[in-house]
Amino acid sequence: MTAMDHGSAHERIEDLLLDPSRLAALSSSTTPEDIALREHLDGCAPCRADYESWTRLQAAVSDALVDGGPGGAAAAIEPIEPPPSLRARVLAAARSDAEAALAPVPMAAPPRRRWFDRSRTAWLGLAAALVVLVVSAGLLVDQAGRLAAARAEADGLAEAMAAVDRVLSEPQHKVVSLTTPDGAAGGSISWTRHDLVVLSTALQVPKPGEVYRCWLNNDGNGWAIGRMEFAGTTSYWVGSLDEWASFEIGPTTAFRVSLEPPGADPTKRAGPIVLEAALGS
Amino acid sequence: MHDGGQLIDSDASALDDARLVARIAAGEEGAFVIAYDRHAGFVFASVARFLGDREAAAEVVQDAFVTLWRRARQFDARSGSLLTWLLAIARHRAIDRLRAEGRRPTRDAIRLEAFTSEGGSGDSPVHPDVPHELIADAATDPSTLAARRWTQSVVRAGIAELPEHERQVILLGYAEDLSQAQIAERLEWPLGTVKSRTRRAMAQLRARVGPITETDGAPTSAARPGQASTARPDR
Repeated sequence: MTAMDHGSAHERIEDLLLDPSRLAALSSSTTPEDIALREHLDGCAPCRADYESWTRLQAAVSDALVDGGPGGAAAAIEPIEPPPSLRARVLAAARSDAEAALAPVPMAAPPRRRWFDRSRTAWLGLAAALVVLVVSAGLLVDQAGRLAAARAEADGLAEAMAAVDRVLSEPQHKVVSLTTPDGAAGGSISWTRHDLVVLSTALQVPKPGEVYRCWLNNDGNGWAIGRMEFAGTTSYWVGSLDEWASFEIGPTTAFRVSLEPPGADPTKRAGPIVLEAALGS
Repeated sequence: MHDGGQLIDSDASALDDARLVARIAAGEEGAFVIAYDRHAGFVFASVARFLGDREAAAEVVQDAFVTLWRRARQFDARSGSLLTWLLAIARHRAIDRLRAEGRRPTRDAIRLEAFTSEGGSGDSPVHPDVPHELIADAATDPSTLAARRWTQSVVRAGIAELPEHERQVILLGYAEDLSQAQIAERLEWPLGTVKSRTRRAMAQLRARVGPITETDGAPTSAARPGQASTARPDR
């Protein structure tokens, strides 16, 4: 029998996919095509991943329909639409949230002046200023870029501080220290069921292309969860545990920050650990 | 109240999710409305099935989208799709909600009993809205049960949004255990049509709910090629 190639393997998988149980039963099938497919899967990681993905999907569909509930499978898959009013409600809630975050600081209103009250000297001054502005336009563009970057940094840090406030206001919050590889204090990590905030002043600003990547590790398995941002010499990361809803912090859970080289795969750690904390302790 | 309709920028409607979220992170309300229109229906259908309560599902969806608005900067398209991200947030909130309801001495708390090993079985008076799987499997570990229930809910939502013909072939194949030939006979369709509709349905389901089945809530019956399993005869 000749070895099965990728194309034939995928065709066979698609054939088996038509039946809810045959893909999962590949191991016990004795047809020549299935034996050839098994042999191909044993030596081909991408095809094997594809096969496993389809098998998991079939199992999930079976599980969803075989056990359909009181109304049966047909009732379980009846379309359900959100109430039409929900859209406006969600938009209003988002606006309200944005307004709360941007609550203006009360300021005294400046005294109103009528334009024709300005003196001739003031107009000349303005004209001179305009000339200076035009001449230094290039410089201003650069300044504007820097200002925007500084604003972004400030916004990010403000978000981190707001998250710290949220975390600390929760009675169930936890805080642990981050340490560097040589055991020195490197910052802190605080979290609740929803938020996780990392603050450190122990990291150097990374070189172009490098990133400090954050990881959650459980029993040898690691999940990349984000990257540290910088505001001046303070580095921070604000995450939501909502995003890893299936992730439970257990006794062996560790949080780590690694320094990843340029172009590194964001899902696999390639660089050294620079900060670490045991969350389960 | 403003419904957000006039905020929609036609250019933004064509954006992929990653670019859309970048605009949301920049504070564009129109982009947020587009994200809502794109995904809220599916998230709502999943949560409503999970909780068995449409009003509670609406609140969870609202929470999930406000979280998107507030934390759009944290979305990383390389880690998964926006829908997967929203579903993860919604799932977390929905489970929180069940837990919170369990602490209140209302009749709705009965629903939570089904999540514990003590409740939901025998002759206990069970609220009619309680999903029957929660009662039947009450002895199962609560978090495993919740994870399975969540996956079922999302997959059902995925099947529900399939075109009618595709939904039919999936229903007959998986719920009634009919072969492709039997489905063709039942529906009086050519066998090739049944096969192509089944393939299309599975491909759409994989795109929509595939990432959810990769998590711990997926049923474990997905055998590997080297594992023993049973199958119907080749038909």
